[in-house]
Amino acid sequence: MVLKAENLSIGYRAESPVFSAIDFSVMQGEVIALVGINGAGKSTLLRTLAGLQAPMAGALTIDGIEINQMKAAERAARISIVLTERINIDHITSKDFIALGRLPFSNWLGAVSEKDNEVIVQTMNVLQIAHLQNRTFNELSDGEKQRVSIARALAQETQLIILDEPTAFLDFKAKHTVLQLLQDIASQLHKTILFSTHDLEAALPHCTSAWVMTEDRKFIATSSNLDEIKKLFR
Amino acid sequence: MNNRHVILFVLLLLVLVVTFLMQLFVGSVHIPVGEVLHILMGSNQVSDVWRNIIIESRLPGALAALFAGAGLAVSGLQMQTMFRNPVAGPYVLGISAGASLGVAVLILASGFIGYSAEVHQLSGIAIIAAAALGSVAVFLINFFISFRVRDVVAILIIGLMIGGGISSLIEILQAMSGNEALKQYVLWTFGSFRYVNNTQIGYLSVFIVFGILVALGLSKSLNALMLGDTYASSLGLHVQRSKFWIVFCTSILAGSVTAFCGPIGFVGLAVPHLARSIFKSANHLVLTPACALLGGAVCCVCNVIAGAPGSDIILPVNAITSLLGAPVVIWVILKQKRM
Repeated sequence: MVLKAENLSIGYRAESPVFSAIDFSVMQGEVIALVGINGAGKSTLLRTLAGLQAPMAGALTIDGIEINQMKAAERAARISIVLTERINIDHITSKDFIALGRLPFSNWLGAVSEKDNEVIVQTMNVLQIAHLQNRTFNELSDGEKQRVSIARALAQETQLIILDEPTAFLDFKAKHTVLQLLQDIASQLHKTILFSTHDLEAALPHCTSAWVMTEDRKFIATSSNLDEIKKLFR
Repeated sequence: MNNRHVILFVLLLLVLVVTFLMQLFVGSVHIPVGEVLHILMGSNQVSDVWRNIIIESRLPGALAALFAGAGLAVSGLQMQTMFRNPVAGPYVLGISAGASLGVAVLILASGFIGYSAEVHQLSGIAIIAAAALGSVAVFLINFFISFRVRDVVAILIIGLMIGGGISSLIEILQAMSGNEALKQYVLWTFGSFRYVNNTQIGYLSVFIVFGILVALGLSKSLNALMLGDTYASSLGLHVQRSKFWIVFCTSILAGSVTAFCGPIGFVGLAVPHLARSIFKSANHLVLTPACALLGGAVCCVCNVIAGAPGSDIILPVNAITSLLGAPVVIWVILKQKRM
């Protein structure tokens, strides 16, 4: 899989884009941290990459296909997302929650097949959450919820997984666990992982590279070296 | 669907059969159980008066309760999922309010210009047409608003405001109408299953069965929408198209029930919560049939209570469903607060 942007502009109005001149090329298996101050445009960029809003200008392709031109079903086969918004679904078990990631593969009724079940069990093993499967999603801790949410995205079997601040509500230990899992998913399952974060110290050691959206509106793709990145915020 | 769900469905079906039959056995006129069974079997050795009571009155009323309860509960389930709001129900869309306005205009305004006697005679078809027109009108308003406004809370508030505006219009109509028309309208707002005749049951059953089948087909969309629009779209769902069909489906279910039986509150709001608690599931493939069966059973019980067995009084069904439903809604809100 290759994710590529050329002279990409993002935002809500073509005449005043939130951010312009974004260029990058991402290969399979990379883990990328997207950093920048609040309001820099991280969420807008992630939404654009996920195909949830149209680019204002430039090219944005996955395997050579314009993300914006894809049908929802084609996108669902290539890109999965994990958002920060809190989810409140009564009485859903963790396993049923993860099963929602299989919807793109299911028949018109959305019933879970044998194959789906295999993928779900496998995914739970990868994320070490098999013991949570019968517990209600609402009663899990924040760290457990995040792991179940990532499992849902992983069950969607996409090459690219986009996460919006996956460590935001987590304590030190849970944060470490989640970041390690993301790194493992990328290296062992050859997924490409892209996530926004404010947590440079914790996140960067787990990444292959970083994207910085600076205050003076420059997009810089760089190595995941903490000192280098800190310089960009001076 | 697991083994526990299968057992629960069998139990629920039994409860539904028992509550349905209760409606045939219990009423203001005492008819022995054996005689009721004979009448249902088509036996000729029974008094015509009793046969008339069972076939022309109790049976259509019982069927109306069954279909109305199923329709309202499924419609409420879909609303709660689509709006991601536990206190949403078919009323939130203002569909029942729209139906009420249609009926109010028919009964009150026509009474005002001196048609009341005839309206009373045609009440069947005329009231249904008026209610259907009213609910479709409100459905269209809501549908266009939902394209412009995406915020769930905003849609709920707009729905409440539309309902409020419509109530005011109805009050103005009431203030201007004569006693006879006013009485007719108020009787309709009480809600009742027992004034639905056998022809109307035919129409009602077709609408409800069709609506529930469409709802089952929307299970996949509804499951995705539980996560919100953004996730649903990332799962490949065409969100606006799915929402159109959901609104279409709820309108058919809630609109037809309101037209035939009058406004019946709380069933659409409370039954989905009971179904989720009993089945401990969020999957709409399980919840949709569960709501249909449970909603039917609840309305059957309410219909029996409304008949105030052993007396000549008939209580308003709307009052009974509200009395039973309100505590459930309070329980739901308290439960949400705890989290």
